[in-house]
Amino acid sequence: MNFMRSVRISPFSLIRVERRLPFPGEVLVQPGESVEPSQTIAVAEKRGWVCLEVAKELGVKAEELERFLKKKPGEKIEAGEELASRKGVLPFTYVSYVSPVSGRVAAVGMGMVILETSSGNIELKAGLKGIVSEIIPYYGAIIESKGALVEGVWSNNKEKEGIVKVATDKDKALTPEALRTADRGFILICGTVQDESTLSKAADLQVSGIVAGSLKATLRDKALSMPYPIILTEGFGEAPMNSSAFELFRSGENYEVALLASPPSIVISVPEDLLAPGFIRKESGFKVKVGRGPYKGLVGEPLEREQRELLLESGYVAPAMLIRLEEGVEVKVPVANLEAIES
Amino acid sequence: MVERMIAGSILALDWGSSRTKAFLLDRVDGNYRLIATGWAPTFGRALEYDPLKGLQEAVSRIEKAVGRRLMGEEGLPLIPEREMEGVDFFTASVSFPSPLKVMLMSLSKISLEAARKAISSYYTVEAGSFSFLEEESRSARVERLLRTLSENMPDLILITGGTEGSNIEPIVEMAQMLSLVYPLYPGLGKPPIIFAGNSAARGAIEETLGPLTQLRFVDNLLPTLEEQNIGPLFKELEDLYLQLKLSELYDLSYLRSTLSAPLTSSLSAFTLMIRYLCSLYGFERGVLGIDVGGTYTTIVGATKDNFFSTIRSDLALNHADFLLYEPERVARWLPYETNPEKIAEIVLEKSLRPESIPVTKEELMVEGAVIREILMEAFSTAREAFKGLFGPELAVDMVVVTGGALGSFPVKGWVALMLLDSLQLSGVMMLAVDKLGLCSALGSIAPLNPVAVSQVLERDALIPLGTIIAPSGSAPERAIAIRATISFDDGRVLEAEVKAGSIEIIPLAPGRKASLEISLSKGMSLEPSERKGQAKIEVRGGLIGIVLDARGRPLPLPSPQQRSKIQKWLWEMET
Repeated sequence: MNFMRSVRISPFSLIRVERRLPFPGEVLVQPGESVEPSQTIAVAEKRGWVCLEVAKELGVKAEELERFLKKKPGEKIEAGEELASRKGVLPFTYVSYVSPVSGRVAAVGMGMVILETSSGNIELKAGLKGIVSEIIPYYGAIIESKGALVEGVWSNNKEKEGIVKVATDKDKALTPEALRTADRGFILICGTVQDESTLSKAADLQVSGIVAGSLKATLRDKALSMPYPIILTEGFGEAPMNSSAFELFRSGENYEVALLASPPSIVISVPEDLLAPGFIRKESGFKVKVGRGPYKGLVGEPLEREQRELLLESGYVAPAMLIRLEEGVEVKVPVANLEAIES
Repeated sequence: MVERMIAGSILALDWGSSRTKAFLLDRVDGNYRLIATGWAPTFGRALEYDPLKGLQEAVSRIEKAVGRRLMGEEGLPLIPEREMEGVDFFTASVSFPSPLKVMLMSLSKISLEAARKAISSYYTVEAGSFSFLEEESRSARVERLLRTLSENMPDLILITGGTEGSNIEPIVEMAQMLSLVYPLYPGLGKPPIIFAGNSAARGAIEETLGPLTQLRFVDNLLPTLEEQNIGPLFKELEDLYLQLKLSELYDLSYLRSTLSAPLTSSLSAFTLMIRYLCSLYGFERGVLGIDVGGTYTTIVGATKDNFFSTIRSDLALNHADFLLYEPERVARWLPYETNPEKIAEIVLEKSLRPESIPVTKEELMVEGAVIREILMEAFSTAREAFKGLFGPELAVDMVVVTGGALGSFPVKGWVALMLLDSLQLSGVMMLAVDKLGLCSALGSIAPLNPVAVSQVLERDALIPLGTIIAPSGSAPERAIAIRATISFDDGRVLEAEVKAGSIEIIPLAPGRKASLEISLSKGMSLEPSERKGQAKIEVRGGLIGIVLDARGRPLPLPSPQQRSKIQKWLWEMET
């Protein structure tokens, strides 16, 4: 029996997400604390460096430099403030070295002074609504959340939260004409994006994000340059969004949603009791979706558990399953191209 | 103890970045055989990164297949085997941690290039480089060093430079500059430093950098300008990879305690197997091992005295982005016209789902073209190093392919064609495929039980594809480039003529042998077998048979106007 990849498309799930700064900083939250998606949970100072050839400028030997410094390592200095000076035998031989920037003396050596400057902070957002379950000292935290979860396959590495709005049917393309000023701040759900101007107009309208089944492959770089997050549930091409994810978004319309970049996931905040009006229940039965080939993006039910070897047109002989697609058609699909839906 | 070491069942694991493969080996009629295999994705679900789950899932597939419990309650192998449960030995190779980020500090451009070449032989990515004899003000260099340290956060700093016997002053000054900025590294742990430069500077380097961090000395990478010594550095990189990158992810100490042989990287294990093959068959020219995987592309070459590897984490089925910007590179290997959109779609889709398989022949051809270009790109940067190993004609005795992309490619003749097209090897070489991707796992067993390795390697791991005969040079168009008289081991004799620019396959089943008397047209040569255009060659069969490649070398890359030529080659090799 060959292994089948799985993907979580769940109306109610416990989600654990690790949020981490690229380098050490200060963690601002405590275990057990509730957090909102846009809340800063950790911060790190972005540092810059300026190296000054002070000994050379003063005309002193490198090993003698410390003797002439007005500031010691660790001390702060303002731009224009004297950093070092040397008195000569006569008053007019006084040589002063003034710091060109504000900062902190970080190191002194080889006749040089290194100043550390600050160029702002990097802020780490919670990304989703939840509870801090664990602190990663100096780096961030693990956030736990409960909600509906859809795992995607690709993101443009951006994150944001917004309100779910279903913009097209699961197999329809989002077009520039369909975008409205009122879409501002919404996370738009659509079947596919095939047009560069759709991405541009969405940026102009300041939508909070797009979740699509697929994206035209040659638009990938354009999607990466967009200021808002884009997540694909199926991948590149023209495949529709799988119906399990689409129905979940439809029932989660007008709920808050968070788009996470890595791994690409969409978390809809739903009430814990699962009895939210109109929200779909957990699906029963074993469902799969097709990840590659002519039926990509379609959801079906395996008609038998057994996997049988199938000779494909490509020449591969691979374990395959007989699937009844939702449309009623029965097809054989290689297991390597199927994904089990975990609800 | 020795008796016991060669008399037990073995569970070997190859823990890759996308797939975890498990293999159960045991004795059948006194010889080791592969009993069962199982695999699972290394990281089960997107939001849960736990490679132990991949291990357990892969082993549970073996358990189901053989009806025998191999894992204990705590999810680790039961050792030793008792009452038909558990296994006697457990070994593992890994490649799932991310590559080591290495910052290079060298004296000259020459030593920097040598350092680049050396780190490209292991799981690394370059995280900034400095060549101190290049023109740059000291202060600018210090600022760049600090920016590199804080933005790239290297796992490791490699210092090279100074041939043996040269002046040590410049390299000591370079170390002093590093000692000035090193304490400002923003990470919590400080990256270790490897010194692989002029050995006379070791004392001064120890004095300058020793108090700051873990400092490791290895033999000079460039003892003379003509000689490069990668081996000691390779070992050090292996040690740090297993120490730093693995422990960064998981505390595997409890797993290590169950291992019967030291944990090794998949690359080291694969390299060991390629070197082993070279000595097993007593090859004079050497063996080339190739793995185009989801995350890495690996090419390993070994002769009886030496080896070299190149591994690219930026070139693999997951990372073939460069082809999105040059779709014509894929299109040139296709026998039909296609649009860039279709190529981009297949390239990107493969990167999202490297385990998926092509359904149509068209998809298969595009994947084949993508593999050709990945291999060409990976080989191009290491071609000179491989020429140093195998000689200017890149003649080897055997090529072994493994890994998902090539190992399981369904049209074996096209596998041979992809290798010939992209690497442009010439001469007489055997071709074998490691369909199950067993080589690295066997490499992890080698220190424990070499007997099991040799028995399983020949019987279960390597499937012979046949023998390729590819003369270099060129013959006039339409001339008969190769004339061959083939005497099969069953007494049959066959005459074959291959026109310039063509390829012919002569079927010869696995296990069968044949003798070839070859006559080459003017302009073609088949070193070292040939004398004055004549050669006598003994060949072994395989799933493809004997391939007579009369296209010559160097092989001109096809243009879109030559689609019929590509179509012809694909037809000729579709077996």
